[in-house]
Amino acid sequence: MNKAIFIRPTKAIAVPVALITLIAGCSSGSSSSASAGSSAAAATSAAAVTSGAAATSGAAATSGAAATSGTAATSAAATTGTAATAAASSSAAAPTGAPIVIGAIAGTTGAYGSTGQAVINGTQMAVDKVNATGGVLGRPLKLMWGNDAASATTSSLLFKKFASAGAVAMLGSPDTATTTVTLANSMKLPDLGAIDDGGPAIYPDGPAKPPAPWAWSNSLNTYAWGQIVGEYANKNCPAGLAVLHDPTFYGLGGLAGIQEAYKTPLKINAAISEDWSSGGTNSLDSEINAIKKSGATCVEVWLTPQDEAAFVNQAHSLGAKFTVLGNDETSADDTFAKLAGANADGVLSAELTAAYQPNATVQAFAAAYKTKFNVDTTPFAELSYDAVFMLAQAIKAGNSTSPTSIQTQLNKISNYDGLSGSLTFTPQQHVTINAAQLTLVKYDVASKSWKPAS
Amino acid sequence: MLLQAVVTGLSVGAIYGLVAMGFAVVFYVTRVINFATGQLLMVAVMIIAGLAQSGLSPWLGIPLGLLASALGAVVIYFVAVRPVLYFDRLSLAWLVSTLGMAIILASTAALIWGTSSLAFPTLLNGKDVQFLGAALSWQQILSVIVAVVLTIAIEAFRTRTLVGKLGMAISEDSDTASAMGVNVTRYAVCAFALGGLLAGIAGVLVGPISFANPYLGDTYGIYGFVALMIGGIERPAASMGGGLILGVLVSIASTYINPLAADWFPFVVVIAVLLVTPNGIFRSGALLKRLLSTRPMAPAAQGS
Repeated sequence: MNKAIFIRPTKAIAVPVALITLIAGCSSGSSSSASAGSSAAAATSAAAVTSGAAATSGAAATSGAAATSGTAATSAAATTGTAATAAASSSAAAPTGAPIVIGAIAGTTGAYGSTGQAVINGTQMAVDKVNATGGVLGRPLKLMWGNDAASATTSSLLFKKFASAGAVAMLGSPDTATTTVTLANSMKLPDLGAIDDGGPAIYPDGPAKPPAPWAWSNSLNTYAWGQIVGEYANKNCPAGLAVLHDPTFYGLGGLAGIQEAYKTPLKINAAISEDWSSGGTNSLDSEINAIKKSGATCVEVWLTPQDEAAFVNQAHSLGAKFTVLGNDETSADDTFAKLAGANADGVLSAELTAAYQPNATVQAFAAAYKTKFNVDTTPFAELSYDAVFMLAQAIKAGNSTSPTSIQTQLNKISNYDGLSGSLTFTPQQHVTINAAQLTLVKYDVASKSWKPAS
Repeated sequence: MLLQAVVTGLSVGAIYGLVAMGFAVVFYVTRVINFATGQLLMVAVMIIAGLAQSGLSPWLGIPLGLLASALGAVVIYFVAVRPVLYFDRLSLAWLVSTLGMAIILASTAALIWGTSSLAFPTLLNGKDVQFLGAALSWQQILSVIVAVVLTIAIEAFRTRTLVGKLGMAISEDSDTASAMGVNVTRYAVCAFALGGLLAGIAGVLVGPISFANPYLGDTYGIYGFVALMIGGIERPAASMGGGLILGVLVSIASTYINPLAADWFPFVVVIAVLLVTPNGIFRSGALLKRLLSTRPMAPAAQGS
């Protein structure tokens, strides 16, 4: 009897339409939760879109750029080398051996596209420099990179593609570290550099427990950033702190860091599902109103720079006055400040002290970076640059490109004098940045710059 | 709290509803769903933001952005729809060809403006209004007003004018309408242009809140399509109703369940609606008829 209900003239339309609805829903879910390591179905259209865009998004844009050769330095061994010396060396013989392939994965499009592009740019500069100074063990580095568009599926495909091409190590991904770290551990292939900003991606069971054995993060450390925020809230937020964060390891790492330092119960602890591929998260009005109702005057907005800007703009529109704290992306480049405009004034963030107060080496790098890519450097470019040199150092120290040797040697790198500071890995320490290396900063609209927060 | 959730939901739902009307206007004349409708929203947003960045007043940029959305829709009709229907009027190849146009539009925008978000002119988004304890921005109020006015206007045009009625006639049987002298192609072009215009207007309304991003169309296209499914695909006004319902449900879910519910809740609703009333909630009272019916419904056709 009920069969009649479904036999209608529009059935021919309703069926494919319903099918498309489901497909669209799957794509959306996979995009927004890619970093959480979900199965991430589909995203075929998104992947096609973003890869097409990536090719033109500039800088170092040739996927799989081959190594360039140059003159070269001495053996340049050293287990405690420096980016500066490596970068400054010249007059070396051109590397002639078979290329050493390294893979790099980053989302160069989408909400964190500027971060991903900086990762690739910094990596490319380091590879060029290494090859110009004799390569590694007399062999040039060959960089293969791809845009994962914040899609776990794409990231997985890229990882396997580069591994099949003979990559001895991977760099990244800043957006899909759950995937790259899982694959690194299962394939026993080193993964380092910008890895989802450290945190749970490296320490899935917390910072006191053993890290992922095949992953080392040079990236800004969410635990450390969260700690800075928590310490600020302890002193300056008597009415309470609300936290909006994405539900991925990135947001959860920040939340864990905050809760480690801020012992008071949070007024609001809300996970926000963001669309990292489009940057178009839905309205945050409900959250703004809930925070107003909670009485909290401080809000940690651990979301994309776009959504942070949307938050401060909407809060302003709705007459809400909060002290807003950001995350490690907020001040990394000008995305947030540009979108938030005048409403960015007074927003707090933290910066890597080495990047905020650059020494001569960092300044030289920044100038070279600006010349090459016509954009300002960011901490993500610098830390990715460091990652390549640390990898090169590990290969040289072990005189081998075998993954096991690289793993052993990476765990021995101590006080590497990099662009992003003095960097150390040990079997237990697989992140390079801690809270002591950070400076709390506040945005000043008048000067359009981040200044130390008093 | 509930009132705040409802008024916030209505303002968001008005945007979904406008996109859904963009889908519906095209469908009710041509029986085609233009899956690039969300990208037409994006086209308007990107053009207005891009022109504003180069110093042009937004009040000049907005008409240009809307014009681009409407023209873009017409191009989609001639490039991706008409050719496939020319060879086979019942073909469903437009499912793929319009999706392909969506990807092309987003990629082109990324080529022109880059992949990072651009600031969008603030317009009316900056001052709040208190209404019985609920806070709304003027931009959100404008969204609701525009949505209501356009819905009434389109519905009146569709049902009260000869041109609108001809559109319905084409929808019922385009071959017969054509045989009677109606220029079906012209109607299809106008329907696509109007659909693009509605999407562009939605873009102008949401731009100050969401910024301009080449991939924005994915998000709003999907939500607009869900609104279309909830309200019903046959009538533009019904799809606006679907948008408003969707917006309110998302807002309530976000407020009373958790913010993540905004992500999955719409799909639960659309599946439920498709199961209970496959043609949408507002399909000529079909749901009420079925729920209140005391006698079995007749079989659809003999021998089925």
